[in-house]
Amino acid sequence: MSGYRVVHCGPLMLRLHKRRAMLCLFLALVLLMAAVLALGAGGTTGWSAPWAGGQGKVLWDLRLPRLLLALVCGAMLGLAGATLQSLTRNGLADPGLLGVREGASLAILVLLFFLPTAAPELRPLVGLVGGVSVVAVTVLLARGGIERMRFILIGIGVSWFLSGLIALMLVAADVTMMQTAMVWLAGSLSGAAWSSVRMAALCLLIGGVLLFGTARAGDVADLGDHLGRSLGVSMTRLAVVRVAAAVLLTAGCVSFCGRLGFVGLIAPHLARLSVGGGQGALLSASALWGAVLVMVADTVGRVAFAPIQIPAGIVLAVIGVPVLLGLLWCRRDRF
Amino acid sequence: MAGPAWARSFTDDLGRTVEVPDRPLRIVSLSDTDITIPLLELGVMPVASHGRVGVNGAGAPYLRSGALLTGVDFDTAPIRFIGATEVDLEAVANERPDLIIAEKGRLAALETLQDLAPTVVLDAAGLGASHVYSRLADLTGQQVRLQTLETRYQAALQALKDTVHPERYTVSVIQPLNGKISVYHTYRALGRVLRDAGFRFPPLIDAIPVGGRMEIGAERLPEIDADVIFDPYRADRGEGPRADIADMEALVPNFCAFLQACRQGRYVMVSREEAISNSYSALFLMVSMVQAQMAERPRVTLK
Amino acid sequence: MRGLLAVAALLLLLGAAVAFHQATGPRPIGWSGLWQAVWAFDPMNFDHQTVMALRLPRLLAAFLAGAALGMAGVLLQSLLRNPLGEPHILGLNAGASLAVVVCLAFPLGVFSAPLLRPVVAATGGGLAFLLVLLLSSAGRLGLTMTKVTFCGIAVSALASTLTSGVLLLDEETLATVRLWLLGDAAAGTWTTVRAAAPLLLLALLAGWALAARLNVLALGDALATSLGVSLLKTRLLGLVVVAVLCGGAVSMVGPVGFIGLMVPAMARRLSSLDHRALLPRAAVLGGIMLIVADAVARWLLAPRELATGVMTALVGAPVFVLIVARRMKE
Repeated sequence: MSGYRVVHCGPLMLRLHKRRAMLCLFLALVLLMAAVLALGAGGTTGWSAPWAGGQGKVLWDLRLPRLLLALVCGAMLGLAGATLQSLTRNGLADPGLLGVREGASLAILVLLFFLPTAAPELRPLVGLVGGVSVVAVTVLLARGGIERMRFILIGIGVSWFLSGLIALMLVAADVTMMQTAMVWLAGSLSGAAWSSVRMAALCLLIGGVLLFGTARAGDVADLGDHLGRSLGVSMTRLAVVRVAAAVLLTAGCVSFCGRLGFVGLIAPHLARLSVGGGQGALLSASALWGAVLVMVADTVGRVAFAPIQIPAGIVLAVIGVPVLLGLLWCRRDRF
Repeated sequence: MAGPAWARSFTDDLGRTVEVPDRPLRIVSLSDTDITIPLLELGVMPVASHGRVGVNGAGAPYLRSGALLTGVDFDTAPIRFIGATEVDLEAVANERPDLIIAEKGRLAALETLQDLAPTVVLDAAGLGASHVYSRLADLTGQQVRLQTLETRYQAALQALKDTVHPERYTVSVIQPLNGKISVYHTYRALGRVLRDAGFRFPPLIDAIPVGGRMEIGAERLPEIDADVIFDPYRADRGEGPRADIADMEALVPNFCAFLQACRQGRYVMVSREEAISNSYSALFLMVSMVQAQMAERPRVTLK
Repeated sequence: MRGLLAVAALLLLLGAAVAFHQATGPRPIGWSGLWQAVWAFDPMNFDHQTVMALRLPRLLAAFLAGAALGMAGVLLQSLLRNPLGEPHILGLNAGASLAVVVCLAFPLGVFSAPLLRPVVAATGGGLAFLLVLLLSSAGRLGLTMTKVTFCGIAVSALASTLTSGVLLLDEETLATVRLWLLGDAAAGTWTTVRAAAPLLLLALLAGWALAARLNVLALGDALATSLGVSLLKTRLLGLVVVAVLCGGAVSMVGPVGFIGLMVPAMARRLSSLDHRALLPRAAVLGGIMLIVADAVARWLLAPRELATGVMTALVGAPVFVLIVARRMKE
């Protein structure tokens, strides 16, 4: 079995590709080291080893939850992006395309503007409801199930309509309120707290289980509809499960840290370039790359001009351009 | 951090009940215009504050209208700058605050802040500056100082009323905005002085909800005409009132001819930096400005 | 005969739109007032100034911008053979807004002058669009509908994130451009119209002059090449014209979206597919739509005036969905 090794673990059987597994492990190690570095990086205090102690509260209440949230949200976006790119067979698909992002944003903005006293724990819930209902509308409009392009393009149309509504809200708002909303819309992790880390991790867990659980079937589906069906994979059911997982991941991420762009677009490409392989490897590597990107962007935005904070979404946009250009050029024949 | 021996309950404008210290010593303010300037006027020096950085300035942080209205800014006082649009939470934590005061419009990461120190949120945009002052005085125990400021303001206001008879005049505050005109129900300090003194406003402005703002088309220019019109010009660019007048002229050529106030030389340009503040210093400035503009003037009389 | 009827219908519609725009103006001015304002203009009469200094440039700005965006839509769709080709979707608007906002927020000398704004906007839009085209035409499959759309969305998102980055630091500039950023015909004054109109008229004529080449292009690449039409030259020329059209429109009324999407779909029903007829009709139709959108924006919540671009997005996005739903069924 060319490079694959089968690992038995009780009733479970895992088929690992040795080289790719090693690559993923290496990536994870790099991520871990980077995370330790980021954990020690303070904006106004400079770098100090996180294990040295002496800054317990800052480290434990501020930096650690923020770092973990960055990792979790990055992984969520990486997974969602990889899934959407394989579902649409298009390397330019981004989790924002389904209208989930605008739906969740609109719902949370309504909450922020009209019920600012509402508990912050409510936000993810509201965001999820907004995101899911937009996808439901998109599915209704697209009828006839998830016929790839039609579905995505209708999602784009729906999200434009919602952006119109968001714009309408912002026009009427106070300038200060508008700036707050813009920071949030640009994508920022400053609201991180242990409670949000826990909820985000739960979202990641559910989405991850759904996606990794269907990864093998996804490999088959990638061979094409006919071949997949003849190999006994129910294409519609598979697509529904994977889209649902991507929606959950994206809406969850928007509710915790706003609209972080480009991660879902770039991470899967970096994954294919560095690790390659089938769905299982692609998903793992995309999650890792997503986590790296968001963590780096957030740390740079937090530290570079401290105490002035640059929202992670804006740093991502600045990093994103050259990376995107380079990647698309390298992989120009593959999307 | 706050020991129960010297703590008390405080209900903030979001309805949250927070245990705050009786005499906070290390206050961090998350809004320069709405919290820091009022604190300074109440004689309380916060240890750190939100500020601004101009895109085109030298890049040095500043408190909006800080030097102009209170003489205090980051470079002249021991106040630490903790960030602009978004506040650096670690910098807040490093100040080891015993009280954090936030404004509703600049609300971020309330939960995390509350973990660092007791955090209260005040609603300046919705409930107005005088409400914020009384809450801040309550928090810092500076009621006497506030009483002094308020007495002085009321006295100035009374002097204005005695000089001008506000009920006889209509006034409005307008601002050109890219082909439209921006009008407020109450334009910050300037608007508050005008409303408190009892001037009358055009019906269009009175129809705006309290604390609200609206953009109207330039065709409605006559509807916002009044005996006196104030135009808060943008002063942070060094262009002065000329740029704002040019904007009005671009909006409606000859605009001055169509406004009774302007024809009579009562279209008054006011610096936005002073008019927009919520502070008592700004109120005092605005009272004397209005009084000087509207008091009776001598005219040439033909014998 | 059918063509004549369509032209007559369009002109009638245009008249109706102008009348609607005129009637929804907040200041009631009768037709006699209009007549006098034009023929016996008195600069000291506010009604006359309203007509000549407010309504006329606003109407002209809306019409010219709408015409430019409508024609740009047809040009893009024909050049790219893509029914979803639209300046807003392809990143032109976001690029142009970014360029203008940067020039407003930072004192960049001459580039911040209002007279150069159309050029700045056109350059920004053009660069963003170039990026989209480069990205999406790389690779073996070349320009496909989805690739262009996705690249456009990615580049737009990028440019608008950078725009908000600039605005986050500068509250006063944010307050100034807030409405303009959503697309607002009220920003059309004589100064902006005068700066943009010559460039726009030139571009509109140039676009029309490309009609014959576009007709040949519609026959397919192979046939077009054999008929002696240079594909590259036509596309390049067409795209420059599109960038100027969009830049001029943005400099007057801000980034108004979706006109370029709705108009070609309708114009194709009103006209033969001959570009010599299609292009001018699309231009007139675009002008009509933007005039109506502007009238609605200022009438809906009067006396509060909304941004024109919000109206076109709220109508245009459903149209996009409709087009997709219909196209993808076939």
